[in-house]
Amino acid sequence: MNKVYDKIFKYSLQIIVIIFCVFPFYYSVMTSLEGSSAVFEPNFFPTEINPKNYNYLLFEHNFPQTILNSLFVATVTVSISITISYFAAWSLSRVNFKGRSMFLFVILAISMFPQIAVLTGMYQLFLNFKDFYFNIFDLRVKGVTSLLWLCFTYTMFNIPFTVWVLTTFMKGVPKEIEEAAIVDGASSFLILRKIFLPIMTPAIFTTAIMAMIAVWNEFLFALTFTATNSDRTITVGIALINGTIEYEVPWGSIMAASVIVTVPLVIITLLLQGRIMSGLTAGSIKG
Amino acid sequence: MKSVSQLRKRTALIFLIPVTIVLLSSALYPLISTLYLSLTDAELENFLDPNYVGFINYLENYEGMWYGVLADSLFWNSVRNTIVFSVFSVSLEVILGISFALIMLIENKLKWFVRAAVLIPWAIPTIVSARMFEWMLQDQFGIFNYILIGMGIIEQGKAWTTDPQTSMIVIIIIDAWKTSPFVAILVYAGLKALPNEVLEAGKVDGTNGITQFYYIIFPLILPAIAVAIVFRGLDALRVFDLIYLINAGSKDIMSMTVYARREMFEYSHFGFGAAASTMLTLIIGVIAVIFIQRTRLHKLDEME
Repeated sequence: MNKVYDKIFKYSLQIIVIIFCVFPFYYSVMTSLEGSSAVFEPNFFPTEINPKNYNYLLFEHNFPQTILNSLFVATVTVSISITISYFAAWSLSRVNFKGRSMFLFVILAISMFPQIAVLTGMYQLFLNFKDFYFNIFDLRVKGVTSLLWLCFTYTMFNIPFTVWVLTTFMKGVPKEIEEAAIVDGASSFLILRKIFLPIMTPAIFTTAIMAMIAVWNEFLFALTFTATNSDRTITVGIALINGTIEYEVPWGSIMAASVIVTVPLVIITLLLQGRIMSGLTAGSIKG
Repeated sequence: MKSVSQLRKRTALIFLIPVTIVLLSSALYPLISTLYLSLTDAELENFLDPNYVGFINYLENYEGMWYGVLADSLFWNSVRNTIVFSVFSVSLEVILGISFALIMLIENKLKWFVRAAVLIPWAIPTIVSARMFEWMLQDQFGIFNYILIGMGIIEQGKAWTTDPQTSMIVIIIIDAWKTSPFVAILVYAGLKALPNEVLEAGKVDGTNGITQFYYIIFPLILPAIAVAIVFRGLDALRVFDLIYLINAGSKDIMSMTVYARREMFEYSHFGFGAAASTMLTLIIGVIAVIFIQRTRLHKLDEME
């Protein structure tokens, strides 16, 4: 009998955790699928399936533009930071040189910095950048200024993280693999390309995904450096969704927008569950 | 001819140049210019060319009255809010995180689902989680009030997010929902790293689960918990999104970052805002430096 109780107890604990974690997400998916009247009747299960909210966002709202903006910023930022960090990670994990732990110390310290610490200076730099940029390029590409600037600031905030995680991952690659190549006289560049790249691909991929999620979710800089409908990223876009009538919050559309930006993340996270877990721990625990 | 190791050292330094350039230009430079701006009278009109004014943004005695960030009761209010938020949210996250981690250890058919579910809040953007909870806690149509009314606990829907008495609690709960998984994953990794015998030991003696956990497992995963506390703590001290989204205008729940940003971008007091953000940077900087040195995270050689 005791064993049965034990089993039931364990299952119920697990179910509580699952409901706790999944319910808010489930509930927003449900709300997003309901038409305007059904939204305002609290239910646990959808009473109707109505694509109205999605139609509105995708065809009548500038939401698709914000998704493209976020994708652009995320792709540029992540590609640059991963490339730079990959080489840096090799230096920091495989080569002994003076000042290595000092370098890692600075990287870690920067990764813990509050964004607000650089915001004023960043903003001043941004205004200078805008002047400089406007002098060079013509009006048509002006809308890209903020987005390019976001790429720059996000690269800075991603690099400490990507360097640190890739360094920890690369530290785990056995020495012998590299030694054989060194004896053969292969250059470091060749070693990084031919030997490390295949081994590190999963780790690089995981780190890239995590960096991408961080960019996708960023709010403070996005709010500060974007000003028009055409250059907003998704977080600011969602924060600013308003109803057609003042004081009426369009919960259905907000939930639909939330679902659109969240579903890809949730799917990726679930597919890469194990990898992301090891990535998260590599960022903070030794070994 | 140069030795291989010398050549490697040189290559290593070359590979570090791009990172160094990015960090110098996009982290160090704005950090220093923020520090400098905090010593100037920068406002919107003279933002690109402000005058040096010394420490008056921090504290100034003018005709017997005190001015500056340090004399602003609203600033101290934001400090208090930030501390309240950090202490309560991190404590809640640690408690939930440890519980989740232990539940993640249970080996049965639901195991995969538990581990998958735990990652979902982590992947959801803060802005989205804020919106989701705002909707669930909405006073007229929110499911939470609906449940409470159904159970007969309250008679009328309550505006949980806008009521100053409950909005801080709501923010702490949303933050705990979103980040407990992170703590859970760290603790889970810590538990997984323990030898199996440790987890089995208590069972043989017949000691009950809680005693076993408290006396045997807890001391062993304490380092993992400490790391999680510091990481989360540093994150909580700079909280912005949640507080800004849930109740941006309210003085009652304003955090230090919200305070500093408001001075800069709503009142255009860039110098003053820079001074406020420098105060926050100092606090976080001291904690971060002590933490890194204590844990020796940057000494990679000791990892082996």
